[in-house]
Amino acid sequence: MLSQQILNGLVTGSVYALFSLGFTLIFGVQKLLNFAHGATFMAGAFIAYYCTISGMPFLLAIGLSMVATGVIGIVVDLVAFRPLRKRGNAEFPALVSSIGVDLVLISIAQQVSKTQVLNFPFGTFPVKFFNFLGLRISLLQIVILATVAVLVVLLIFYLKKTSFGRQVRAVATNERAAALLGVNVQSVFLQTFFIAGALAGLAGVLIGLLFNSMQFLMGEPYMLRAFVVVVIGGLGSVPGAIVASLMLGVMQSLTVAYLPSGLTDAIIFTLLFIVLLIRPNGLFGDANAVAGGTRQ
Amino acid sequence: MLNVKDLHVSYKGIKALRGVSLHVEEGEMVALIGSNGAGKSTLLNALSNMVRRKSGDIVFAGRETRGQSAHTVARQGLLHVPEGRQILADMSVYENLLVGQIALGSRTTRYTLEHVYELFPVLEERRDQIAGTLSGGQQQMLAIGRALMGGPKLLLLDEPSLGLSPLITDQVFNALTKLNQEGLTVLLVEQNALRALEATSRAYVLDRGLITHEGPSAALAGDQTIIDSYLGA
Repeated sequence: MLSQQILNGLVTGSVYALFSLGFTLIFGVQKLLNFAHGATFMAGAFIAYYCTISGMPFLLAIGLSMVATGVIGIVVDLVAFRPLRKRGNAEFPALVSSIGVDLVLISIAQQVSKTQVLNFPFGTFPVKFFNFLGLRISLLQIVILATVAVLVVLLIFYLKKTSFGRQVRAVATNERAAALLGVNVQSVFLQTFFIAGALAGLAGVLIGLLFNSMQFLMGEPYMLRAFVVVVIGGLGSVPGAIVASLMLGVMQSLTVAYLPSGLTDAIIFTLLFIVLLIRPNGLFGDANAVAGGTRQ
Repeated sequence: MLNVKDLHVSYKGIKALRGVSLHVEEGEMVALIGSNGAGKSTLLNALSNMVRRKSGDIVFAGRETRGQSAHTVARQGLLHVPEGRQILADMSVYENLLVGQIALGSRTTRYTLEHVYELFPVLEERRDQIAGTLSGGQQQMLAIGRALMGGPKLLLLDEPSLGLSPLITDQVFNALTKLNQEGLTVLLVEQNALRALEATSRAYVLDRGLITHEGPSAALAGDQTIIDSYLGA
């Protein structure tokens, strides 16, 4: 029973990771918090849903939804962040304007769905269960774990081993120095926003499938959790976001199983509080990496 | 190579440059000296389009740079090694050099990785070390090496001797002299005026946003007003 709960927690946690990676990536590169990330996640689920019920093959619907949420990411950067960046000191104004974009997307979704809870039609994803070592795991859970693992490996490869990834890290470390070295900072921003948006969109589809329930506010609790994950993991840290997401998923699954359900959030935020007392910069954060810290 | 005419720059409401004109010819090594706050760094930042000018012309390699973004200017071969070196502290020495190569684009350069390693052997020895853990002198060498990887037609250097011991400063200046002898055009900003005048053939003196003196470095080093103001007793 315990190992079953841990397994379920790891599946949910891996989707948190997908969602949080984009959030932490944007923070790492721009030092800005993108609060439209939750609505982007919701948009991913919605777009995949409407494509599916209009008869599109499910895989194509997922692909289309990821491209669309990637584009939403780019629009967030162009509309909510870039004009403020030009004026400098964008931290707080950008936070507010990204909440604005979040609300716009939510309102659109509310209109489109007429505030209904949406479910993927039965059979969108084959319902199949496997038993091994006394654990029960669905095909969907296996596919989610595998997809997230592959995407995380690809993302780390992209960041560490490709020229584009090096440019992203260069901008994250020192934006001015990167510009002086010929790195097109604006295009790095657009790239990271596209990747972050597409990952959030996919996370939305996967959560929609996993719980088979989607509604226009579904992104908001995830937004709050991603914030916790990113702070516990260390702002801007990719491995930190992955570890913290899995931890959070397991914690949540265990509290739901063994404790009164109302305690889940209380426990999550107590955990956040304890981690911050012991390691103020998060598990993987270093003192220099925190918000706009200059590095020499 | 570089022609600046009547350059005005205001920075946070302060007139940092008030009509600066200067030129650097191909193959030259030119010094720009002046006291703290004279506008030296602002001038370099204006040349690399990191700050916007209010008015004036900057022509680099035959092209006016007005309105271009900083990375475009860098990709044309105007490479600026900023004050405080600004290395990419979390990345390895080798990765810093690879990022430096981005400015090269499809151009070619004689400054290959081997060339940079030959000039600064310590960078090869510490190839995989995280750049933030290098000493100040090594970081300066990395900052110069990284700019070389970008194929500079003109290298702007801001206070390369800042915080370095005299011995390491010698090493850095020897490397710059060698690069210049091989044909690299350099504009050198230094507070260490004596050092800068020794290393260059021509120099400008900047004072509160204006060029007050210009001429052969040797002549300026012998000028009594310069000696009194900038070279110490």
